[in-house]
This record gives sequence, C-alpha cells and structure tokens, in this order.
Amino acid sequence: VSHVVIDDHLLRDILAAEEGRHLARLVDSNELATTNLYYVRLCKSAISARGGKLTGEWAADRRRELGRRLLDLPASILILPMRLIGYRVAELAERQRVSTLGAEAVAAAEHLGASLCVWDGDDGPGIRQAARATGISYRTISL
Amino acid sequence: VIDLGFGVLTVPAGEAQRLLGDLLSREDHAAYVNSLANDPDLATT
Repeated sequence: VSHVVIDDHLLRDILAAEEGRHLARLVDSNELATTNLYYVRLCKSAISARGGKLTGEWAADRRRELGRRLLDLPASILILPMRLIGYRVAELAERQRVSTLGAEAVAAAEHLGASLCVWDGDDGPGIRQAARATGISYRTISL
Repeated sequence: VIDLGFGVLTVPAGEAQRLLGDLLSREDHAAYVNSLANDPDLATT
C-alpha cells in the first residue's frame, strides 16, 4: 500500500468525517501521512477558532481543550519526525521558493516515496514547483 | 467519551467528528490559512 502526504485542509476533513468523494477514495486506497507543520497549522487554527452553533458558546479555554482532544491524531496517520527529514527540509527551503511548511511536505513525500495531495483551494505554486523539481507526484483534491 | 480535563463529555458515535466540524469549520480553517500568507514558515507558498 502506498503512502500519500496530505495537507491540513484534507486532514481536517478526514478528522471531521467530512470527506468528499475524491478524498474518500484517496483514504480508502492509501496509507495516510501528514507533516509536523501541517499539523501545527491545523492546531493553531483550532486554538484561534471561535466555534459554531454547538461550541460557540463555550468558554475559550474549554473550546481549546476540546480542540486538543479532537485533534489527537490516530496512530494510522503517520508524521515523520524532523530528525529524519530536518536537514532535507532546510535544503529544500533554501533552494526552492517555498516556505518551511512546503519544504517539509515535499521532503516527507520524498522520504516516503509518496504522493503529495493538497486541497485544490490552497494549491501553492511554490510547493507544486518544488515537488516537480524533486520528482514528487503532486495532486490536488476537490472537496 | 471525551475527557476534557475539567469534565468528561459522553457523546454518541460520530458526534466527536461533528464537534470538530463545528469547532473548526472548513471555511474558518481556510480563512486562518489565508491569514498566514506572509508567514515564511507556515504559508502555502
């Protein structure tokens, strides 16, 4: 079974059980991985979230605690430790016009021999170019 | 069962996912990511 590295948008949809048809097919046919920085970005987003109909009235500290529990990743979703890819991340960030987050996504996909899959609403040209230059398969997924 | 530290929340199967969808909607997360456009570490470049 092959790995796919997914971004934080797709990860949120999976954790919230809001996968569309294309994402559900991806989940069914691959082992999932994400990155440290995609995960951190999702956690930061949850910490600043104001909540909706169900949780919007909760006190901020309680919403944050809820977010902590709900974003506890299942063991089936792999995140490579930086000790394995940190140097490569730094190298890619230096050589390519890409953020640290983008460099980690490409480095993780490279290390795993995986495809990199992102939400088509957040398709970064720098990450796409870095993936192409590194020989990584880059795919966008519509929700 | 979700242990929140200050209390335990017992929810039906599937409700935890719905809570996450409520806490952080797809649109809210997209807006948060968009707000990081100039962040050299976390932006989608």
